[in-house]
Amino acid sequence: MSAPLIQARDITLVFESKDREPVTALRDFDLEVGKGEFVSIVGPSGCGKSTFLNLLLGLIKPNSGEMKLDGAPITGPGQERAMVFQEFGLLPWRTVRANVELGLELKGIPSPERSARATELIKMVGLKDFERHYPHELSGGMKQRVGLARALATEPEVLLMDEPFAALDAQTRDLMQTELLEIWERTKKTVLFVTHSIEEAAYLSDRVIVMTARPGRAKETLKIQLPRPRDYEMRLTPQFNEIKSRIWEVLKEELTSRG
Amino acid sequence: MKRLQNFYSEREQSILGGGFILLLIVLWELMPRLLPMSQGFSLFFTTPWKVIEASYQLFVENKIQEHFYVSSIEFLAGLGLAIIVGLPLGVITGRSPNIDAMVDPFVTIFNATPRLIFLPLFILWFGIGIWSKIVIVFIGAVFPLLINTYEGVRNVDRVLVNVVRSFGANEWQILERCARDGDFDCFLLAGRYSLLEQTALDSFLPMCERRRIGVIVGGPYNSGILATGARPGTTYNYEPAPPAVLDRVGTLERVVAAHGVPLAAAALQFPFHHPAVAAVIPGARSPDEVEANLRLLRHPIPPTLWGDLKTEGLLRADAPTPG
Amino acid sequence: MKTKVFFAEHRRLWLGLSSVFFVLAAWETLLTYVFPLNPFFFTKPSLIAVAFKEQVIYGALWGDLAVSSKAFLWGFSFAVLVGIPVGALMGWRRTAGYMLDPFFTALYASPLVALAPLIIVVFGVGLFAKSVLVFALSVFPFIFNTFAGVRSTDRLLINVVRSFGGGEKDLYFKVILPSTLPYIVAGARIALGRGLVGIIVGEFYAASEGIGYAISRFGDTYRLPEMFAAIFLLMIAAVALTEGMRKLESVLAPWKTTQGTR
Repeated sequence: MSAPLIQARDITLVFESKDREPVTALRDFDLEVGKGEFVSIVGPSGCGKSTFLNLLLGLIKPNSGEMKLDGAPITGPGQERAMVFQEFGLLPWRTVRANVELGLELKGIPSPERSARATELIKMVGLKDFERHYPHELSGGMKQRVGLARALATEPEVLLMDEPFAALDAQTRDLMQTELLEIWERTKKTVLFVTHSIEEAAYLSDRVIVMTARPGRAKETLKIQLPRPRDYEMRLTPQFNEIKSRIWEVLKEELTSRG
Repeated sequence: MKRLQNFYSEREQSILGGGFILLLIVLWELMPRLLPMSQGFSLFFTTPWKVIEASYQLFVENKIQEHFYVSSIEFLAGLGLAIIVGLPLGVITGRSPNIDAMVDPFVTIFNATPRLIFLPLFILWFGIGIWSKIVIVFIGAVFPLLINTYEGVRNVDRVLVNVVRSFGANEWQILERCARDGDFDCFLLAGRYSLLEQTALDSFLPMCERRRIGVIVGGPYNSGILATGARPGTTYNYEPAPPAVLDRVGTLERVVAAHGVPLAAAALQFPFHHPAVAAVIPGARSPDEVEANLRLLRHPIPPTLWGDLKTEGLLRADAPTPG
Repeated sequence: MKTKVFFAEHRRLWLGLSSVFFVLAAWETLLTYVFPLNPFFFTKPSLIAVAFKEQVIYGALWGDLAVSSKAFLWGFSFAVLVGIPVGALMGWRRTAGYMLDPFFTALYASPLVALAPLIIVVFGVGLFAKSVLVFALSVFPFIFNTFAGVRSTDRLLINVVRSFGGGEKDLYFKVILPSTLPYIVAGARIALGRGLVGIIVGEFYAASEGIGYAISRFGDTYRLPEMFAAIFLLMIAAVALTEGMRKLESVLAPWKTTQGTR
């Protein structure tokens, strides 16, 4: 593999609190993601996986360690990274179109270009008939598609996804996973995907990183040896089950150790 | 130093808030000394200390207490009146959409209008004594009370209402009400169509027959009494039977026995004769009771038995029976 | 059949209208045929209607309404201009919030109408004094509602905008302001009611013009039909303004489900 796109080394993050003991979310956390890879992170609740994503996004700074994107250190938010949030995070007073254009607007891209790009993306996520709707008129799955379109609008290199399908019902979730893979195949982004679902991680990714319980560390990385493009039927094969149980074996220890 | 910091951060809100008010009071007190004031202006000006002194004077001379007392009476009386009127009215308008529609224009108009506007009118009507104030307090307080009670009643969780209702569904009235709102295949009616009670014949059972809703009759023995007969301590509606009921059951027993039929058999078979009844649930606590029920179901009953019951006024004449 | 459907659909409207009509008719009938009408203390709809026509169309009442409106608008506008920024400051900077909250809460909770005599003493009688009273009463809903609105801004949305490279200015205009708007408009509705109280009380106390003055003047001279006419005029204005506010609320904030906002 050529030089990794994302590099995180010895990341430690401690949350100070006024009336409680400080909480160490991550300690000596290492991670590498190659360009164009789809990597999932699974781990027990509170292990810091979402926190790490926020660190990569640039919204918080680690206490120690370094993070690099394409060799350059990460110091704050930037155009090369975009996040899809678990609770969607759409601005309720904006239409679908205006929400998708948000990132472009903040970068100062003039209106006609913004509009064209938004149209393209809205079509890609299949919401063409809904571009004038408001978020409160949309279902969960549709809202997340807007979130995805918005994240892709600024043409980031890296897509950070924080349990994006957790708030959706099981059927919509399956649908969205397949759609995500299609979009990924087309756009060739590097994706870092955080999830609680082993099945989801195995289905979507090239590699699955299992984290320890808090303070979080990367415990083990498993390569997913399934051919691409993936389809739903693969989830029903014994090979897939074996992959799932391997991940589960590693994860299980972390769950019991926390009690 | 650290202790001071901790002390501050724990009480930051009160320190900042209280401190600000204190600062304002101090500045106010110092104003005459800091700013030049014309003779005329100082006539209209006072300082916190003077206010405290004056308050003390008023208090000592017992002037302020009287006034405070009168105002409190006016306030509490008006508020009390508002509660007495506003709460029930809020409940009524909340429960009845028709009454709500009729009262709504008045509530909207009076709520939007500053009620103080009626003060001259009330003074005209009630004089300058205590009553005009009570009325103005009343009219000021009654609308928020009414409106909020209304909203409270309207927003009662429908699920909770249904839960309470379903526990009490021993009344055919409730089922009839439900049938108005929805499409049902069958109803389970417990205890209200039996040898002892046939009030469901008036409207409920005919409605079910018309709308082809199957009625499953529960409790044909009325929780025991029609199975055991009139014994002391036997249960009717899950409680010890009152004397009037015991009497009646005794008479039923006599008439039924004269035809050589056990009371329980008549009780079990009776509901089946109504065309709307699809099934009867007698309830059994042991295999023996199940077998007993089956036997009772098959027990032959001469049609004259029913005729006699009706003649003796023990069964409604319009209750469907064979023969 | 069509009329039956029409009545059924607009049932609420018809019930409401008929009940108002019924009350007015009962009022008129009772005081014409049943009870003696003492003109010093009572009046009836027909007389009120006559007085209304006279006063509003030919008389000074329209002018009085204009005077009151002017004072109201001055006071209310300043309440908006002062209240919203102060509330926003309190919401955004925690220290400012802590400092000002207790003081403003104490003022908001007090019946500031009691200050009316003091205001007259200091500012005299006239447009300025009335505006000050209106301001004092209507500024606090703006302060506290804006405060609450800013504080309730969804942290997630702030993170979203920051993650896409938004700066302070973007946060203010693209997240905080739109998010706070429904709160501000709700506050405006409350402030409206309180401001109306202010203008009425101010005019009761010491004024030579205005609707409040007209009402108390008619009362003093026992001209009951005119008094009621003035009251009704104010009622109409109050309802129009309040319902207008409600409409504004639903237009500006369709994504907020407002329950029980009366």
